[in-house]
Amino acid sequence: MSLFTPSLHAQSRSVTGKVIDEKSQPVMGAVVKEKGTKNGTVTGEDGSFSITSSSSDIQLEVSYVGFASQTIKVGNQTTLTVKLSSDESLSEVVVTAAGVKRASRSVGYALSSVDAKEITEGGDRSVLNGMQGKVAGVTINSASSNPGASSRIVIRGVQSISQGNQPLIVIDGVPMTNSSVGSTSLNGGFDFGNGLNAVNPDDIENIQILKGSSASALYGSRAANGVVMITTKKGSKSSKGKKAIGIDVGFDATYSTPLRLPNLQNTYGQGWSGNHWLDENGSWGPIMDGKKRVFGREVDNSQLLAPYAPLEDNVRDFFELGTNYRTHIGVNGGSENNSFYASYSNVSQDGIMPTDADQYTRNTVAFRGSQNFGKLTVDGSINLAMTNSQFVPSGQQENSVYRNILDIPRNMSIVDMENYNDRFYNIDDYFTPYGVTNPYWALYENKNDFSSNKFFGGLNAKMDIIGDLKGVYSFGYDIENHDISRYEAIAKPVGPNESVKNDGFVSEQTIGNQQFNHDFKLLWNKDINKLINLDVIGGFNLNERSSTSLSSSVSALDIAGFYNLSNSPSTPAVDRSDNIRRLAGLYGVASASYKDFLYLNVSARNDWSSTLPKENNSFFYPAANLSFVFTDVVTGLPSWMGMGKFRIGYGASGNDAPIYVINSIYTQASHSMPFRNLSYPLATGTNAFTAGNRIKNPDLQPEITKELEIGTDLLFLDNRLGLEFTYYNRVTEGQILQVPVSPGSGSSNFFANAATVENKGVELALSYKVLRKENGFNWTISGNYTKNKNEVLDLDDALDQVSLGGLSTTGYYAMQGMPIGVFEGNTYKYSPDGKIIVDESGVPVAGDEKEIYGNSQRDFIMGIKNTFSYKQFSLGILLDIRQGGLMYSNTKSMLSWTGHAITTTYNDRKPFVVPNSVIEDGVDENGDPVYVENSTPVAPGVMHEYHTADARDRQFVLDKSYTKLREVNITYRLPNSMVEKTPFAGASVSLIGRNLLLWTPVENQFIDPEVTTFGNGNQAEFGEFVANPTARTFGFSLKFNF
Amino acid sequence: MKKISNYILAGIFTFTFFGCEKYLDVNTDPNNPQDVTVDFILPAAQTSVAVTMGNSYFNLGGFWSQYYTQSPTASQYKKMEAYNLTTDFFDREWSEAYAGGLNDLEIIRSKSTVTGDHGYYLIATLMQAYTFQMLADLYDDIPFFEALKGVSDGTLNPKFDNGSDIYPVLLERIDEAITRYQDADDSGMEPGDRDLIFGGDLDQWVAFGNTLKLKMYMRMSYTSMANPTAVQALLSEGQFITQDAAVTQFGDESGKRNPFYDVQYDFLSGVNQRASNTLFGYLEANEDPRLDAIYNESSAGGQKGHAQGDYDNLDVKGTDLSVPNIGPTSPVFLMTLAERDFLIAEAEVRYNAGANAQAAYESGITNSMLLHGISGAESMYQPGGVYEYTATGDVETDIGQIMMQKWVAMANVNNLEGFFEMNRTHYPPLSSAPKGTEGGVGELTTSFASTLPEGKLPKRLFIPDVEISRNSSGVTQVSNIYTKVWWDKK
Repeated sequence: MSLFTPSLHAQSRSVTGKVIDEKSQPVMGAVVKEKGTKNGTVTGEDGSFSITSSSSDIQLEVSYVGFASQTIKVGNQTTLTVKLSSDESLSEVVVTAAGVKRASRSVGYALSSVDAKEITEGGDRSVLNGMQGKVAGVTINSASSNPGASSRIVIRGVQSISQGNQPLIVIDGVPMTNSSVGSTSLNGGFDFGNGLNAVNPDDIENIQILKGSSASALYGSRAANGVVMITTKKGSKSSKGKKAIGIDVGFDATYSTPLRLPNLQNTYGQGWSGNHWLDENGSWGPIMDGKKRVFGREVDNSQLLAPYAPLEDNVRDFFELGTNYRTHIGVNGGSENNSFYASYSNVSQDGIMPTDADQYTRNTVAFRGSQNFGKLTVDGSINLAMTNSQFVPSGQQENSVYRNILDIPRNMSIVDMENYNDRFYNIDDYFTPYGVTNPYWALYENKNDFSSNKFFGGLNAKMDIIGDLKGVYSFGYDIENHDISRYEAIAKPVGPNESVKNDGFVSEQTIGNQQFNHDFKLLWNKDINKLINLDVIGGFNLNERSSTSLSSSVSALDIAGFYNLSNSPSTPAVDRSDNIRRLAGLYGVASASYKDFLYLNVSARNDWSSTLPKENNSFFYPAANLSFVFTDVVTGLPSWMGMGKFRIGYGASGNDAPIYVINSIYTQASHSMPFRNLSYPLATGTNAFTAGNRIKNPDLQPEITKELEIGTDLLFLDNRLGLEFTYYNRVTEGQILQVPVSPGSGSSNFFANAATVENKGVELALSYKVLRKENGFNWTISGNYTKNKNEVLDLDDALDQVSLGGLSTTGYYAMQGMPIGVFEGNTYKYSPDGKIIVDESGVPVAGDEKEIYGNSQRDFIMGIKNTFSYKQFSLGILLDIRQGGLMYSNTKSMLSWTGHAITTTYNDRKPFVVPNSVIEDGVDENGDPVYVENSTPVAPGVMHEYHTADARDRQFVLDKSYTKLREVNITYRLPNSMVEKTPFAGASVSLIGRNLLLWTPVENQFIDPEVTTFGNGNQAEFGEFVANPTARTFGFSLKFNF
Repeated sequence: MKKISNYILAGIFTFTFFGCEKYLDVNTDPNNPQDVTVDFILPAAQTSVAVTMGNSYFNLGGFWSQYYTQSPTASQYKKMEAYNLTTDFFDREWSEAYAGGLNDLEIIRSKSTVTGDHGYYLIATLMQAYTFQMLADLYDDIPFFEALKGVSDGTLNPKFDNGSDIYPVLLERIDEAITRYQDADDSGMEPGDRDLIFGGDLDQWVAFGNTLKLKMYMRMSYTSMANPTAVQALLSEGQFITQDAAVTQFGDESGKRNPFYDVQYDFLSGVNQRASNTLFGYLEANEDPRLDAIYNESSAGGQKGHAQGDYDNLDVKGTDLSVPNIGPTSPVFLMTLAERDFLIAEAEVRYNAGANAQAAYESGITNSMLLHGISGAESMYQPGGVYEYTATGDVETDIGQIMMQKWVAMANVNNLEGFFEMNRTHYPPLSSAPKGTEGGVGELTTSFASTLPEGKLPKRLFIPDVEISRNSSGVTQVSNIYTKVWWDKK
């Protein structure tokens, strides 16, 4: 916020001063006006001004585009330093793609900005989660509330069918590796997060989001999905001879509880087909009558006894209060020629699962410094993040804790099972033999461990070469090392549970990712005359990304409880993979401005990529945009009209191919069989190779994305109301896909340019300062709205549809003429006259043809934030609204099978005839089946079959709309009068909450629709496969600075 | 300063035009070889064929030859038992056969032609002929003349050819490969134990070629392409295999086992395949000791079979029924001595007036029993024995005796061959009893679950979706699976 430093001098009618920005850099061209008069001036090159007044009680209004205006009571001062803070409204100063600071008026493309305060006010350890719901055109999903899980960000819709859709992350001009580590296995998925998780949100000063492909010229093809440009905190240089040190300290403590647990029925107890059978993993039994009954297995001639009554919270009781602690200390300072910033942070989280099987610890250290040597300025940064986490695997089978929980009947206590060595609860005598076991066994006995170090930063040297010409060399590095260990205990139950067996498992994997980036740039800026300014950048970029992975595993163990690759009768399966890709780019950007109201920006880039065939590896793409501040030109506008800008941009960007796909290769032989492979080397030690199934394609071309965007930024009512509107249309042609070919050809696929995808839509951002009372009460509403329409315009003839993952029952596809992410699955089998065909039990039969259910694309997303402040208090409330789109829920499917879902009480489980149904009754003379009206009701014995009938698979694909009370923040800032008595320069205390409330459509009684167990790519939008429940967090935050 | 910027610019341009190519030349996959020699491809090609033959098709043959039936307390193969296959059945096996084994064998054939490794050429040509024949017999029409050329000449939509056009070419290829090997002064690299089947014994491979030819000629015996002269020549040369052609290199570890065992018994816990009364009843009635070798006792104890396709009979539990005996390291047999013997016996009856038929027949029983580790076959076929051979002079009657024994000998050994031969010769015969009633001893039963018209049994497979949906050469799906293939003329 604003701050001015009075200096103690004798009073005078003439006031001189200097206007500076937050980094203490002079602000040229700021308007300094005497309030209520026409008396005013403009600051000079060094930010200085001088103003004379006849008044004795001068109030000065200082304003500059991109900063919050300030009114200053001069009092008896004669010299002032006015520090302007960037405004949260639309007229901010932005860092353009080139890393150049400009007034946003000059930018001809959509760009959103999120500042440090907004990112950290919810207390989340993830930078991306901190931005959820706050930026138009940007969708951010956190995959899971397991500590340390990844978050996915997509800007302006899913563009690529097969390649990544996440934007490029750039930190202080250096591209960052943001890949995820996880598994989407249905038999134990896990998610250890993405690269950006290594960034401490408190180190960030500002994030700018470039939504279009306008930045592609500077960052290359990877910027075609947009760019998240993170600017970190730097030390500020202080004036001559003085050394200033600032210290920030923050501490948050928040606590987590389950946000959404499935809505379960509390009427029917353990059993199947209406019978009270004691070994069933479901609640298809009789109505619970509350009478005491035995349950579980008979062990040593004894059996447990409990009322046959619902335990409504047996699932909720399993979970514990999660804890999240965040500590941060940052030091910044500088002298005339240098500055530095150093920070340390610690995050320590333990999720809602009992034990620390879901925990996350992150320590970060950051150091940045800058030194000026006359014509040469060098700055550099070193960041180190050390992460350790554990994840409770999701999915089916007995290794999933949550799946085990969902299979426990409604009348059985779960927490009583914690002693899994107890004679009734051990895995030998666990009540059911049907593929599940004691959840505590899975929780305590299976482990995984992720430990990761990430080291990133850069070195930047800027030199004044001659006149207006500057040269810059930037080097960026990002080095990650991940170690993943996973263990599964030997489980060999004896007796009736013997089929729930596990021979034990140990897997060790090491992944290393490296990225090195070099940029050589020449910058030239010249005022051609008083009206025209020219700004030219020419650059050359080299980018290298490489990774290595070494993994080995054994799927049988000898000694129980000893988890080492050596502890196995079998030879470890070992896999090593290396890859490297390089990109060279030559680019130029030229910006011209005329009279500070018309700005033209033209750029072009040529890339050479290592992943394309040599003949086609060079690709060129130009772009241009124009910004026109029409309010500076058009006269006679009404007084409520403040600034208005119109912008238009058109650009192309190219993208290269996935790595190593253009050539044919041989692979170590492995023959595909149902459920298994026969893999070399053979047991006899013979090794062999087989021709890979891919045909080489020397004609592969780069993908080209073309984008048009038109928008306007408007300020009304003395900047109280701001509006940003953008329309965009982005088409990616020649998408590189794996195209299947006839096996008869001897191969099965090749990579080709095979699809065109379009995204078009509108983005709207609004900010309205509803109230600005004299008494200090302020109310601001800010909101954003995004509507995107996605369509696969064209798909190669050989590709009927492209599978994006999904399941064999419910598929997930890209299909021509439809949005990416089409759900297709079973449906009823209909008689010729359109009636539902049932089998002898009265249960609907699935048809041979599959039905398209819909797709996963949202209708719109919206964020609304209300901020109230009064004196030292402020209150912020953020609602995140996502409307439309489908997702698959295996949680619902599982709960429907076990009879726990609330939906299974349909018709009070009394027999009913499927309405409008027929049954096959022989064939006619042509051999066609004859159908007669069905009168067989679905009996209690097959009620579970009705609720999980393949024909009714559509019910497991849910409307994933939701509204979340994403963030609430109540802050009390200590008043100066109190702060003065402390060693602090400022202090605040906040109550914070995230994801406090969730509203979903009635059909979704089961899961938080934000969750996914399908990773961080396109498949993430498919849905969930017994995902662990999400959590709400609430707590407090303390912040001090010195 | 100007100089510096000039240097920088010059550097950039130099790099751009000269250094770039080298800098970017990193797209060679370091994780997989770009090329390998034939000795590293051959084992993969052989196990590919073994996986195709030894798993899903083997399983199918087990049900359709009525060695196995679906357990009532499991459900995995109900559709096979009901003859109610969907067109995506065997997508995986088709892909493995063409884009796996056949393609690798084609590569070996072309590489070894260049390098003069005639031994490898011989093995690859014979294995490929063997596999093409099997596919042609299953599907009748398959890609052949234009197949396997995706990489070499970009043919991505090979047209389909009928088995009757394919057989003669396969026979020529076998002759050509044998001649090429035998005529060469230097047959090139020795396959040695890179050959998983005969350990590099190329004489045995020549014999395999002759046996394979005999098998193909017998397949054509009811067609106009029957060739007695050629068969007589083969018989008089008598150069047939003297050891089983089998892949044996399995170990009891996941992914290294006998394919059928690994999938059916390890992964699926062996809950599906149970002894069919058709074979079980025949062995039982003849007190054939192979019963205890072909089937393991049920987990409840004792040997018991179940009516073919009677899986809706829930009164019978899978745990009470006998289970086909395949072990984790059981070989996958491509061709056995017993099969050789019965081919010879049939050929002798057909084209040599039955001269040596009885000896070959008895040798077939002996070899079949020895394969199961049982000696003393004489007691079965000696005069008065249940399998005594009686030359009647009537070709079909004599062949009937041979084919019944061949049917038994193929059980759990080469189930699919049992199915083909059953279709070709109609031995065992199909019972005239209506669906839902079991046939007599030595008669086939119409599966209780059959969805085919009365009196029909499956004769072929649908062309898998994976091919028909991707191949635009104009191939059309067959209308049913009971239409006979080209050689099925009896």
